Amino acid sequence: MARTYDYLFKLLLIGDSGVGKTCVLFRFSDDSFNNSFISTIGIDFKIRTIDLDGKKIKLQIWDTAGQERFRTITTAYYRGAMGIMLVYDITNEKSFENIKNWIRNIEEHASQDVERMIIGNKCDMEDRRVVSRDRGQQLSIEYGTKFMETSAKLNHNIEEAFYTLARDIKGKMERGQGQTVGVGGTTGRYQQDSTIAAQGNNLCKNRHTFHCDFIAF
Amino acid sequence: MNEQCALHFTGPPGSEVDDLGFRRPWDVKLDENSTYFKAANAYSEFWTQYLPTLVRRRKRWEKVDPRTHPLLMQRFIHKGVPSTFRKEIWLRNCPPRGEIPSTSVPNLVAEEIRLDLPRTFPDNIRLRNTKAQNTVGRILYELARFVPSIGYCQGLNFIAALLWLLLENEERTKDLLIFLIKPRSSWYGMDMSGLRRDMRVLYELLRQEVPVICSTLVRLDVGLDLLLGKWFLCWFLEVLPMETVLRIWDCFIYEGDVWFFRVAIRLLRINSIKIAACKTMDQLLTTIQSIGPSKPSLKCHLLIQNAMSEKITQDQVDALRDRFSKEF
Repeated sequence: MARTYDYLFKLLLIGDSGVGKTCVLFRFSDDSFNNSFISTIGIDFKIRTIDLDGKKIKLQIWDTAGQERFRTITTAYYRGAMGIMLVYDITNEKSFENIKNWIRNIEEHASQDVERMIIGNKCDMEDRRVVSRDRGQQLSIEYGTKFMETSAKLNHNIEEAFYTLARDIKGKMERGQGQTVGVGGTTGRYQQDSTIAAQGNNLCKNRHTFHCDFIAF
Repeated sequence: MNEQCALHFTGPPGSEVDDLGFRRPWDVKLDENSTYFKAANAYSEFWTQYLPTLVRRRKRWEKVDPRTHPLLMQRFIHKGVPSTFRKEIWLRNCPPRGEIPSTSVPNLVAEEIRLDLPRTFPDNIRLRNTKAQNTVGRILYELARFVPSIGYCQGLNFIAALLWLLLENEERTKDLLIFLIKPRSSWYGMDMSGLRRDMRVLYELLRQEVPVICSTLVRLDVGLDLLLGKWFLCWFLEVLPMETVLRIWDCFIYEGDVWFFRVAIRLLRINSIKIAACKTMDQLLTTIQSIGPSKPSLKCHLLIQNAMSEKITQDQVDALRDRFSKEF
């Protein structure tokens, strides 16, 4: 079968429960919006191929459950991600504060050279805004990431966000950096004959991380 | 979303809303370009075949009344509990939940519950109003009080809501939810250790029953927790069509969670050739996701019968749980 794309980029959407990760994804992949999305259990993904400077880029975008406990399942799959969107809700202070925890989570589980971007979603709800654009901008400067405010509902900046992230990954690849991105080893799950030992190790690590996160809240 | 809604409706193809309050997601007259065309046709075909079964089972239950004969009862349950008997049969062995524990529920838990209430079966007309959503909220809150190690775990919202839609009684729904969740609390706790242990158990069973699944998982470096975690967490809700879910729950409530393993193994067995042909992780995930809306999943009567022929017992599952529990 002929390959219909030049590059395959694996992206990941993370952030607190209810910030609109699934809505952002559906707006981008299906150009649709629905007020009544159901909560994501575990993990889901969508594919869209885009044209970028004459190259066909297949984006494989993973949508994750926001609730913390699901991280014990999903973090094993951060490893292969080449780009991560950290999403918060501009009407929800806590979701913004938690971005720091999500970043720490990435640093522990994702490849070191993963491209990151902070997204302040629901910017159509100006009357309920509690996180100013400035604070979002500040945070992104602090962590050296790009930043955008989006509205999945009004289709504001959604395309721009994904294209920007894809362009950054592509740039990095073509400059010859981050060649290991996306390969990044295995989840460690089946490395040993009895798969259990590896899983056990991961589990302890995850549990430890989790407690640290929790105390930091 | 659309596909999800197509999984819920379980009434006669001509009715707007089913007994549980789920709307038929497609118009009666569909044109071929509709995204629902295939789903609607498959559903109508299924229903035409299934209706006589439903009628026959109901007559048998009314005539024979299996409730006093344990062996007969088991056989009758496998063949499906008629909707008119379901409430009573599901609650049959469920004790009252007892004294309210003195532990308080953290605010964070209440907030998490509140967030999911409007996101629980938005296509159900009985759950559209705040009053009904608050009822589901109180049911989940009660569970958090009785099982503090869980608090609230996403996925429980669907289970709680379906139980309430079916039982139509808040207090008894609380009883049954707590009764059914408590033995599985480690699936839903902070580290989900029980879920991962049971995925390890399932892996072991698959290694004996459908080994090609295991070699595919190893080759693509994917874990069962990621692929099938939702199947177990939600007891197949939001995965399989509603009628199939109800039939599985009939068996599960009466006989135990060995049924989740039987159904999972059967579904993987049916799709094993497709699964083995997957070359990437996203192909595998797509293949797994396509199992839910597939025809074998819709044909619940046959699926349960075939799952029966998976010779796995509850004792076997529990023994494997003991064996692996130390590692999780």
